[in-house]
Formats: sequence, structure tokens, C-alpha cells
Amino acid sequence: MKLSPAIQELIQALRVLPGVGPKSAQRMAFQILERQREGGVRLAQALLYATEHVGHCQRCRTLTEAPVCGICLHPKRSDSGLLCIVETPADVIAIEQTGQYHGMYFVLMGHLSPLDGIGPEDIGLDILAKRLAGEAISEIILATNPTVEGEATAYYIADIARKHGINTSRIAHGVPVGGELEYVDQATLGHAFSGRKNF
Amino acid sequence: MQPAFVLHRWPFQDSSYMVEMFSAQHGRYRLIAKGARRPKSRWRACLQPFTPLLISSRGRHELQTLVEAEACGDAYGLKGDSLYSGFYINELLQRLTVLYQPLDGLFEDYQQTLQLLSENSAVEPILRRFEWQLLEHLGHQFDWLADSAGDAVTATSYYQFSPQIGFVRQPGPATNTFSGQIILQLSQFDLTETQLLQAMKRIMRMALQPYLGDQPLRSRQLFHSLIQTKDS
Repeated sequence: MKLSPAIQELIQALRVLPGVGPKSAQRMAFQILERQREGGVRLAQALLYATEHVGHCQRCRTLTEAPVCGICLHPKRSDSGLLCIVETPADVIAIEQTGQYHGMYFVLMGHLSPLDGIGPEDIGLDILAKRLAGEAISEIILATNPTVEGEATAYYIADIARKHGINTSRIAHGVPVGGELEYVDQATLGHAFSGRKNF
Repeated sequence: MQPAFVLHRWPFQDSSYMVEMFSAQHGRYRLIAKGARRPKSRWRACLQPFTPLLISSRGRHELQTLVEAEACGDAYGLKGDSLYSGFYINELLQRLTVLYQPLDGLFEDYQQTLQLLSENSAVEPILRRFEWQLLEHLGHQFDWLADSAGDAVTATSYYQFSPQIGFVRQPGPATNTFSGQIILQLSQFDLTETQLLQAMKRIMRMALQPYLGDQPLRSRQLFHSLIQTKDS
């Protein structure tokens, strides 16, 4: 059976979401049209509002509809002098959930990738350099991913920080809590050994 | 299972990677690592550049599917300039070698270059060495001991370097000439002085240019902006 153009379009549109193929898109479309009309309208409005209004925080580049995000506006956090550098807004959420960190963030929205032509300006390092020059920051915590691109990004930022005389640290890589050494890959285990602590 | 290195990888569909591999058996080639981006994938840690791998893949077509991959030995822990240099040699391989065209000995030279980069902080001589090795493997080498007319290079003469031709004898010194003395030292791979290193860099850059085409090397641009950051 051929679906009407409106339904067809809805199914196509839903497929922009990650992990949604033709079958799940069809299920979602019918769920909205058969049982969740109100929810569908809400979704449409929320989508429209968010895509139109959400931009980047002027200070940390995370996603927000305000000019400056809530974390950057928090007075205690800006007084802490700590700046944590992460690749994505999802990383900010992950770190916030640990409850261990009470400083500021800077979100790169990616990483340096020389072979893809992603350079320092593309990940906002010019903005970061201005912040380092203008603000009282005592320590930079490099929390980019432990991939080669993440490492390259970390080294690059460490160089900028050194120029401004700011202390830099890198998050540790190690064995996951509740994990068994036998099943940990050798690169991680190697890092865990070279980064061991006094006990 | 065959030894291989990852040169580069791109996200592919929702949970996979398209990986550009480099191996002795196949040369540079591409494959799909299905599910490699899933949080629990055992390939997440090992499918990274500069890690020696043992891999097996299947498929009769150009784009193969990865079946098994494991790290054999430690990743070359490249840091700072060595890491950027690693990206540079990967980009050179990407730009200069043809897919599915294995070149005898290039894999070993690549591996040795990574080893040297991980042990030394002076990256320039290592990069120049690899550039020359790559030119040799591709059959684009030129003669260091004879000029374009076939006469021996003499220490007291001056030469201009012409890509794809070699050294062309000039009547006297000019801004773009090299002295025979320097060329003879470089032919012995003597890079002990800054002057020699700079000459080698200029020659290699000119020698590679015709094969690289118009597009600039992206890792070289990164190097440039890095140097500006350090200097300014």
C-alpha cells in the first residue's frame, strides 16, 4: 500500500534521528497519528523552538538558548579558577553527574582531526585562547576523549596553556569500577599501570 | 590474521566505522568495522592509528568487512610533535599510495618510522627519511650523485632542484640553488646541521609536490598553526 504524502514525509523526517531506520520511523509515525496527537504537536513545537533558539554559550560554547549558559553564570564556579575542556555537551552532562567537579567548562564541539581538515579554529581554540588571556584560570583539566585525535587536541591546548603560564592536567585512564583486569584491553591496562598512585 | 595499521577512520552509519587500513599484504585499503562504535565493542580501544594490529577481514569487493582485530604489541605512544608527525606520515600515505597496491618494504619502513618517532623528540630527520623512503617505494627517486645531464655532482658547483628531473647544474649560486657540497652530504643522509636539514626539507617538499597535487597537506597546516601558537 502506498502511504499518503503527508505520512510519507513524516516517516522520512523521523529518519534523521540516530538509530531510526524505515521500520521504526513508520512505527513512530503511526503511534503519533493514531494515539499521540497531542504529544505529536508538543514534539513539533519543542523541535521548532529548540532548533530556532538554541545556540552556543558565548563563554563555553555548550548548547543553550541563553547567551551565556547556567554553569558559566554560576558565581562559585567562575571563582573556582578551574576550566575543564571536553569535546561535546554530552561530556559536560557525564561529568556533572559524577558530582566531583565544580568548575567551568569549555566545549570544543569536536576534536582536532588533521586528516579531515578540522583545525584549531573549527573547535573554537581561538575563543579559548582569548579566555585564557582574559580570565583568572588556575588550572586546565583536559578531558578530551582518549583517542589519538583527543590526545592531539589535548597536546595542542596544553601548548596554549603553557604560553599563558597555566597549570594543565589530563584526566586519568584506567580500569572501570567493577571490572576484571583479565577483560580490560591492554592499552587501558597499560595506562592504568603507568598512571598508578601511591596507596 | 595479517599485521596492519589504521591510517584513519570515519563514523559509518549509526554504530560502525569505515576504516582506512595499511598492511604489507594489501597496501592501503578500506574496510567496514561493524558495530565498532557501540559502547561495549572490543574494537574501540584497538582500532586507532599508531597501534600495531592483527586483523582479518572478509569480502570479495573493494570494501571489505572486518572480522577480527586485536592489538599485537603496545601502541606507539606518540606525544606532542611526534603525534602530529604521525598524522603527517599517515596523510602522506593516504595521498601518495594507490588503494590495493602493496609496495614491498613500505610497511616495514612505516613501522620503523613510528618506532623512531616514539623514541625521539627531534622529528624532522625522521620525517625527511620517511619522505625519501616513500619516494623510493613509489619509484619517484632521483639521483643525488649525478645531475640531470648525467655528470657527477661536484662539491664546487651549484644546482637547482627540479621535481621529477633531479639536480640541474647552474652557472653560479642563486637564491634557489644548492651547493654541490650540501647535495653530496645529503646523499649520505647527513642531517646533522640545521643548514642541511633545511636544504633537505626544501628538496623533499619540491620532490613531493607534483604527486600531491594542488590540495595542501592538512597535517602540515596544523603544524604551522601550532608553531604560530608556540611563538606568538
